[in-house]
Amino acid sequence: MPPPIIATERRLTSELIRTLTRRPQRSWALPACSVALGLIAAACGLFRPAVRPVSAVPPGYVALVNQKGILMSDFIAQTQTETSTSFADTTPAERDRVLHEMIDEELLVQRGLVLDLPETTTEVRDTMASAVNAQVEAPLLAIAPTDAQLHAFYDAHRAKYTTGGTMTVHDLVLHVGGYENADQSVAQAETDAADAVYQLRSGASIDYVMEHFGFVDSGRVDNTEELDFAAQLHLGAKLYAVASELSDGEISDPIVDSDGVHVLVMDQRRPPRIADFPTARNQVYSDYRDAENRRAREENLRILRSEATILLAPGESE
Amino acid sequence: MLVGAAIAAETVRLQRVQIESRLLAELPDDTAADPVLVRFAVSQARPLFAQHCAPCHGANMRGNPALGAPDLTDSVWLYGDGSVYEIERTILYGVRSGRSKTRNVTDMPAFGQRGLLTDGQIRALVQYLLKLDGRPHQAEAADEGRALYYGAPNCGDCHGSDARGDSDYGAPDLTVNVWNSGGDPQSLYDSIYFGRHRIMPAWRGTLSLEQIRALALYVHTVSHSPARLAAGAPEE
Amino acid sequence: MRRATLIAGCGLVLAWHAAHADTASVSYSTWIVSGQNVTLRYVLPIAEAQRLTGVEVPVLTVSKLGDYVLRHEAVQAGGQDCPAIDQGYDLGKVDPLEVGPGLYGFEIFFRCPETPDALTLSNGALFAQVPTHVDFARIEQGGRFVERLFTVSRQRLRVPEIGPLPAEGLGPYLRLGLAHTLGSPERVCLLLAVLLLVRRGRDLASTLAALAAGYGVSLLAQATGLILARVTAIDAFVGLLIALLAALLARRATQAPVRAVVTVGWPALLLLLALLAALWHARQPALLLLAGALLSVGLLAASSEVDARGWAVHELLPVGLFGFLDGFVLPAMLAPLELAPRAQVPLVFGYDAGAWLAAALVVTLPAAAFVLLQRRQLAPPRSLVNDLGTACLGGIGTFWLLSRLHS
Repeated sequence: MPPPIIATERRLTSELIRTLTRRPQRSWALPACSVALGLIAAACGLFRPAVRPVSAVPPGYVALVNQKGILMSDFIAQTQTETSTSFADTTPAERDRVLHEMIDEELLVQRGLVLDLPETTTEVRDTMASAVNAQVEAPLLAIAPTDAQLHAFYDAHRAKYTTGGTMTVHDLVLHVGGYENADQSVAQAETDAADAVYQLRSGASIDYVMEHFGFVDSGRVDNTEELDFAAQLHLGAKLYAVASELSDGEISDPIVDSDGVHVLVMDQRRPPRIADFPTARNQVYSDYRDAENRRAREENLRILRSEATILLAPGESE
Repeated sequence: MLVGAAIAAETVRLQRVQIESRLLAELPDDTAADPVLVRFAVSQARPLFAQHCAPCHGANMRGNPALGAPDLTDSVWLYGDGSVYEIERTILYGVRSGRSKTRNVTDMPAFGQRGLLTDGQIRALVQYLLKLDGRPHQAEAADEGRALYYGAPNCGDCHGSDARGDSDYGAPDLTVNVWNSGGDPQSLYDSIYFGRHRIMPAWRGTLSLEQIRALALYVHTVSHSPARLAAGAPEE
Repeated sequence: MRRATLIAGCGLVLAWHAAHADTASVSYSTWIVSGQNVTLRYVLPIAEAQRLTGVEVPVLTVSKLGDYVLRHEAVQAGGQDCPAIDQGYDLGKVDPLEVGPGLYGFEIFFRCPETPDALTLSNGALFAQVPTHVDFARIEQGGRFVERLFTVSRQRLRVPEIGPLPAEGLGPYLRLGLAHTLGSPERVCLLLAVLLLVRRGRDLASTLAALAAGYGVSLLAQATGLILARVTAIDAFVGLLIALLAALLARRATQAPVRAVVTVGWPALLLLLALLAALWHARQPALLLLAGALLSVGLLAASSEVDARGWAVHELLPVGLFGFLDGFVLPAMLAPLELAPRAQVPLVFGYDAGAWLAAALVVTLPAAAFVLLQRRQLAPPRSLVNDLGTACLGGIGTFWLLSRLHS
């Protein structure tokens, strides 16, 4: 006979369960259901289905390499490319060879990922970045610019579309303080040079001036037609700045430079000019496309940055 | 009754899985010879086409000149020979989609915009194209256009010396009067002036391999339907 | 009331300390023996690598960790060192590998100077810092894989000249299982909770049988390879089982109104926490708390309160459940080695056997000591022991459940 207190507790518990369920014969069923549901919920929370490795090549693939498939379509394309015949006409040996190569390539790619080559190898990083940019630029290819857009681009970037200028110039120099002019000062040389310029402008020849005033050819230019950029390199910035303003037959004022006083005699000057739109439009078209691609790439980077968490070490900036 | 319905549904599902496996297990070009696979592919691909392809190629699959999307019901193919395999490659990797395996050997340069051809020269070439198609044209201008075709722009480099195109390059056949971007003189002029750089997205990764195979077989079937082949016109 | 509060406070302090106790220290190595060459792939969890920071590895970078690994791994052939090969391309002698989140991986090629007569593989990483560290090794030789262990007492493995390397016996895994249970405060607490519920020797035997059955079913389940366990969730669930056993103990030892409160209150608390977790979109914790609530209400409602009857079958469920869950710990630890499920069976059997033996020790030794003390009338009052147990274990279990679910 159980003690009274325990009998009371039993009665209370039964009444509690009966109250909850109203059907006394379900007093064991409900707890059992509760336990069963609890076990099911626990199983869902504690376990997950294991990823079973695929043991057969799925349809549409020709091989699996570490669970990564080689597409049948890619295999056909590769075989046709390497054998230059249609797939149906290739021999089993040829197909085996191509598949072997494709499997080798897949193994190397997977090995590259394991070695984290995008982290350690510059060429891989460059190729990956280029491939991403190619994907970003691809949709722009279908958007052909209108003539108005090209014109507007040309107008905004006119300075880019200049044709190169040329010049044929003589560079005469009066060396200061040389052997024959041991006591001559710069001021005196300038005065002599001014006289020489007057003579040249009056029609005197270069040879006359060289003989009577002591000028010599500086040797910086070879007195034939030169492109502007070459003339700039040879003459130096100071002399080129003066030469570029001279027109055909013009004579410069004396210019003091490090090696003496120079006088420039321009034989022929063809200044650079901005190409008109019809002349430049091929370049304008290419530049427009490049600018659009660049904008797309920059927009892509802006989006990537906005979604990224970028931290800089103290003292670093970008 | 519920159990019976469940069993029936499961049977249908298993049958479908089986046919899908066969659809992919066969070589692409072999699937066209199996009427069961063709029927299955057509039933699966119709709603897919309506959802994914019709916005460009049209609900009736006749293409859209404004977008340069080709007519899929005819036997003229920009890329490949219209086999299931070639159609599938195009769907998988697209045209100028940015993927490395996409079809992207070359595109039509903007001869006019780049200043490579004058307005008069382009008009002459248009007349030559009309002549190639057997359409009414201006004879003198067409002769000038012919000279240009084999001259500086060297159209034959892509379109072939016989103007019959090159499906490896995606250079269209200029002699069959089938034009993805419109065949009227103004559209032809625009094609030469502005160039053409149409893109088709790559569907690998967006659609499953089964769906892509089904679509390829569906397009192949429509383009090779007996009614069209007999009548020389696409099946309605 | 004051005593219960004081005891609960002590329990929480114990729980806090034990919740931050060291977890098992493991690493993984794969040795591929091919003629003159031995390729080692070494995988180290980040938590293990962090133990080296400031001691062996001043700053934890991949290259410094790689250098540490190179210093502590070696191959000898015929008594001569086999040097590690510089792989060029700025990789050096140690190649970092991308092996997945939470893991460092390294690859080292050793080339032995002549055709090796007998190879000795040496692995000394981490043993100086963590004497309980275990390296699970796979040695491939002639296309055949063998699983072995590197421990502090065995840092060298000899690959025989003729014939394959023999597989590891049950002994080391048995020892691992023993250490796993005895070194885990959660498991010891759960077993002590079980002990408090036991009244007779027969109950003890049925408890141990339930535990063995749990391990057995677990072994069968993991051998199928169909399911994988979430280890952190299992740790949290063990906390729940401890609290549930404490509730069963409280229900037995208290009077009617308190029993009703325990029967309804503990599951209600879990249900409330499950709702809160669901509101916070914490799906998995909500699911586990709900599971706990359903299990608790079922077991508490059906629980027998009669001391003389001892264990009812359903009260063995938490014990069996613990055995089942604990049996998945070693497979989870072996996951980076990617062993086939059936290949793991002998290893897991040895480990589980060791864990069961340890559980038997934890349960029977205190019970025997208590009986001896009782006979000499030195044992503390049963009610004090029950109060102490209920309060401590209830607090500990609840704290561990919530802290592990939160993490």
